[in-house]
Amino acid sequence: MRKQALGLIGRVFFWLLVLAVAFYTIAPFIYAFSISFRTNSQVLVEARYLPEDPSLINYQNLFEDADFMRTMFNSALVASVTVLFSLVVGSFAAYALGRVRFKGRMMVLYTVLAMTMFPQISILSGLFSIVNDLDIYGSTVALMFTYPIFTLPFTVWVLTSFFQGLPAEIEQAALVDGATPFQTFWRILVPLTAPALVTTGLLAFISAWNEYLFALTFTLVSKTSQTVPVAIANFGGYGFEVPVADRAAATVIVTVPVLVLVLIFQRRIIEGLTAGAVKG
Amino acid sequence: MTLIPPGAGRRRPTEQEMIALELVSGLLMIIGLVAFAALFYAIVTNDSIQEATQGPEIPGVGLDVVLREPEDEEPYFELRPITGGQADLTGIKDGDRLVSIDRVEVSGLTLDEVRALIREDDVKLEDDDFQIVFDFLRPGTDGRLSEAERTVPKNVAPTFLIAYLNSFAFVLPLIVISLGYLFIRLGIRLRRYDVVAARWSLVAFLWLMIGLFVAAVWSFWVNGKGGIIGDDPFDYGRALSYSVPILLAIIPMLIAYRWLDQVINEVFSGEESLTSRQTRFAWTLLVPTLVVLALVAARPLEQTFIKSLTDDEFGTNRPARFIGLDNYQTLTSFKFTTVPCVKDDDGECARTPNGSIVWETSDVEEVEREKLRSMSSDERRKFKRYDVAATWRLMGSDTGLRLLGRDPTFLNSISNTLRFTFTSVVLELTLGLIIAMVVNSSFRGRGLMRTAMLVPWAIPTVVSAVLWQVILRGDQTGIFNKLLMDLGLIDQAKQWFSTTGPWMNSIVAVDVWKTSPFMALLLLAGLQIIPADLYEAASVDGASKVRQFFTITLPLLRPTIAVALIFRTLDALRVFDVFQVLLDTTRPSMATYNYNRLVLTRSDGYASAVGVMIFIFILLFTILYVRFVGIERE
Repeated sequence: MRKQALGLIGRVFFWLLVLAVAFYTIAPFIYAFSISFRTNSQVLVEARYLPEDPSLINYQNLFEDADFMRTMFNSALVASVTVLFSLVVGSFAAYALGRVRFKGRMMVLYTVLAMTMFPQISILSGLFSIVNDLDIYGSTVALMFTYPIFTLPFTVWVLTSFFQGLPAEIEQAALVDGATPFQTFWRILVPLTAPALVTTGLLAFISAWNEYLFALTFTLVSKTSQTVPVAIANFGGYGFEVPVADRAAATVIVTVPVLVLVLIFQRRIIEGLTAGAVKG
Repeated sequence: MTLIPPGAGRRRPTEQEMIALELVSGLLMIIGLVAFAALFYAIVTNDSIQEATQGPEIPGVGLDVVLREPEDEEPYFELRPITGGQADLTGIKDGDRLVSIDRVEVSGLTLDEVRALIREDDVKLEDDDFQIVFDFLRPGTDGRLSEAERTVPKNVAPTFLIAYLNSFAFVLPLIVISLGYLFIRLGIRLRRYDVVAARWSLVAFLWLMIGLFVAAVWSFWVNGKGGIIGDDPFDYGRALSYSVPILLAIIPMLIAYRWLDQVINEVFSGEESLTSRQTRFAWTLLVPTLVVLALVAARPLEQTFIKSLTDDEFGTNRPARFIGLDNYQTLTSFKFTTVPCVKDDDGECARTPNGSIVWETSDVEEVEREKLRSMSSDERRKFKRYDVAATWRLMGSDTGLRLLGRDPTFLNSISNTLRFTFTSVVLELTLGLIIAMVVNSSFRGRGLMRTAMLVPWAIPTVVSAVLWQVILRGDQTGIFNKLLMDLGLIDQAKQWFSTTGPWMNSIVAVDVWKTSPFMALLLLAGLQIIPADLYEAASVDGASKVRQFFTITLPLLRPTIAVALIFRTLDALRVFDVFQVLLDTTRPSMATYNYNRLVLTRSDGYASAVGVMIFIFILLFTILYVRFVGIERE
């Protein structure tokens, strides 16, 4: 009897904990969703859990705002180019590091790992002058050029551990069939790791999509090449008041695509993140 | 053509093939030589190096002064700017009448004295005064004179060393030189009909062609785009004139590559071991990654290190100077002293309206002020005195411990960052562990829960900071205040981010919300590795859940926790977004302080030193962790 009661209390406690965790993680985002349906002046006058008379005006404003749409496009473009580049180049390196035994392998692997631990800020001023010298300051190309600093080492590291996990017989079979090493890599191993490529690409995409420091530094002067995080952080709004509601709507617009991706690939993301961080 | 291949080739090369081989190996050697020549040419024709060795084209302010003595007027000095010089660029025009130089009136002076004031000749790098203020009268079209003032920077050449290090330094020249050397050696080895050399040559040609192609596309874009950000129409003629020659250079390499590829198994001899074959294959695949990392990581890092030893500034004409470790000295100098508090009438320590204690000025500050008083204005400008960074009350006594530094803001940024790192990492670990254990147990809706858990992680950090800014608004309109008041936890709205409020806790809370999911993810992976039968066995033995947690979960999770701690600590040490969005510049983290110095005050050299300091901090923490938490890789 006592044991049953204890079990019940334990179950109630557990579900309370689940609810608390769920509330903690998603409540702020739900709140952003809620204020995105109110007007700016309503938000600035009174805090409410639910909008008093929901309107889509903020979303309408944003979708009609050519500048904001342009920043969305910039973000998507920069993130896609960076990710494609990192995947192609990174899978080459990862194959070499994961499947081929050669002198200097560990050295290269650790150099790449050191890059992921690197504080981006400490190379900012050096990068700044290189971007200036290359005559790309203020353009989206400056971002495509600099983002591989964090996406490439990550891609290499995660893909290396995926390649290592594949059985060794694959190449031997391919070699017996007379395939060159490059054919083995391109025709056999890459298709096998396609799921891993998708996951890694997705994670790299999210980190490029979310990047703020480089975007802020290199596109401060030119509004036309800014990315979404910079645009939201520096929102001018319409008029003198703080554009709280517009920002909330923008937050929702920026986050929803990522959330949809997360929903679809939830299992893969967890696998990818943990493979990159723990197995290494 | 008398060279005959040694050893037994697969077959004797024909006369034609021998000529072709000479051409291909010649091409390799020429490429090597071109690499050397290009490096040399780039150094010699580099603008700032030329300025350094030959002096700037128009030195100083680029201004001539003549004395005019018209009959019906007072004599005056007329300014004659040299076209393209600094004075011309700042907008001084021919015929402007000089009134004063650096606030020194010129009426009554001789021409030589005026010229001496401009000090064209003594503009040296040691000179700290890099600009001259000119007041003058400008004759208008109606003959009336209008007053005007221009501040003209002097054109000064950098030293050769600075010019070289800024534009070339070590990484790029070293790469070019070693590549050039390798190409020449490859060319020589190829003439011996060595199959290994032939295979390496194929690799070299392949990447060279790809590299040239990328360079062609790049120069097409950079030279074609109009203006800095491309607001002018695209200039195809210019773009093509730069990229086509690069594309043409690919042709001979393509021919050489095709030829080598055809005959490699027929003419070349020698054996290649499996190891050497694999090594070649691996390095072939690594080339692009290494090139990219050298370009976007190694090179900037090197720049940052070099710049941190200079007093470089953006947006000035003053060239950078080497100042040794001065930047670091300013950053790291600190002093501790004790100060008594100001007593009020009751003999208690006086407090400001918001409750902080009022302290006396310390002896150190007095000394510094005294020093400042005895200095000339020039010295004063350069002098960085010890200023208060923080004061802590010593355990209920009337004295306080005061920290002073030459750059108190930086000292504060260190303390902010360390406090932030410690509290946020501890909280994230606890919270992450709870979340991970919740989503690791099986219950209905676990998949949904795992997705919900990823929401904070998916929101861009800066966007989440902006969002929390709204949630934590410091008055009635903040939803968090409303929630707390509705629950009866506080009576009136709290200012979450004000200087006197709990701003550090608020910042930590925002960061914890954002990053706990990531921590939970890492820990979840560790939890999943723990075999379930361990728990079953423990249950059979009658161990309680709490006991199971401490005897099974925690010890087995230790390696995962160690890795997660490292990841998060290093991330927290370079925190930028939340501080940048939520706080003003007086409460920086190390990273935002670096950014502020770089972008707001444009002191590039100093900011670089801050960057190097952050780098050192992170390095220290990594070493500490690896030693004491004891993670071992592979």
